[in-house]
Amino acid sequence: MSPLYSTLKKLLEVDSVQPEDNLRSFDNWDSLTVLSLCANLDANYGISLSAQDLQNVDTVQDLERLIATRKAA
Amino acid sequence: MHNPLDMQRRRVMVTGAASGIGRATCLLLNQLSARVVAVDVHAEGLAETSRLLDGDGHTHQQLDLTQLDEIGVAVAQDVAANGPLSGLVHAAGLPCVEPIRLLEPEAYRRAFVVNTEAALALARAFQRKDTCAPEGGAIVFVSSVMALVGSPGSAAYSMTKAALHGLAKGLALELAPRKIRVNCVAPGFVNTPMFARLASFWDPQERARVDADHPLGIGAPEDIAHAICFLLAPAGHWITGCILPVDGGYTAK
Repeated sequence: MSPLYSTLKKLLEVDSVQPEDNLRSFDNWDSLTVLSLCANLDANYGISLSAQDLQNVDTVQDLERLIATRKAA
Repeated sequence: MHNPLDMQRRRVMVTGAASGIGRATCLLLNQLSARVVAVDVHAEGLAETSRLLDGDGHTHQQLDLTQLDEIGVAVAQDVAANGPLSGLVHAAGLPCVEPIRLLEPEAYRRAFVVNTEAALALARAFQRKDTCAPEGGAIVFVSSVMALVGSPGSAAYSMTKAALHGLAKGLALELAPRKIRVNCVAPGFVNTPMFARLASFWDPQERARVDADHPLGIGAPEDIAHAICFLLAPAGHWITGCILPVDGGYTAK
């Protein structure tokens, strides 16, 4: 499992996260989760995203695409 | 004329010297005629701080504070080469923004080592009779308003900084007979690289909320350096075991 999915499972407190899952459908998807996800991506992967960047992200797959775009930039 | 902030001929070690509050403290100490021992793990920033210091007698050491066993050795080496220390400032720190559901030991231990355990190791090295100047000295730990009030996602960071308050009070009493004073400065949000990194995650609403929490606005590193130097200088000679919030009114509510 990719580290992103592992982080999301812990943050969202669920047993499984699928690419097509809508992040906003999870009970734990709140401003603290978004902030923590941004901090985690920055600390562990050197990827700088803001809460505002994540406003346009719906699914886990969208998030993966955004991360890939930032990595390539 | 007696200047109660004069630090002439005093050597002061400052951790976190490569940027932010640590660098501002080094530069203000320099203005107050102290000789600075700048310490940081980041070589580039450390070299820049050293370049900014006027005059002679300043030294710098690249030191990884996660290696606790190396701290005492580094302090002893500096003292053997350059003479005793009159002051110690622990401004180095690591953030830890994690909700409790992510707080596994590896997530917070690194911050705890740098923020807290390194402070203890530094103080232990500083108080040695062959290290602290015979007339006494002063230690300042840079804690945080997060040690005084809570904030979601800051539990581990608050823990590392609140522990500094206990450490300072205990050491203040233990070291008072030797004229070594120990205090904490608890900053609010200050424009440092650490703050810029944290603020980069926020949306405009969160940023507005943080701004509103500081009635005097977000601070500058120099605001904290002023308080640190006051506590180090003769002006603070009757202050020990004190936690001084310097926070633009953050904790006034």
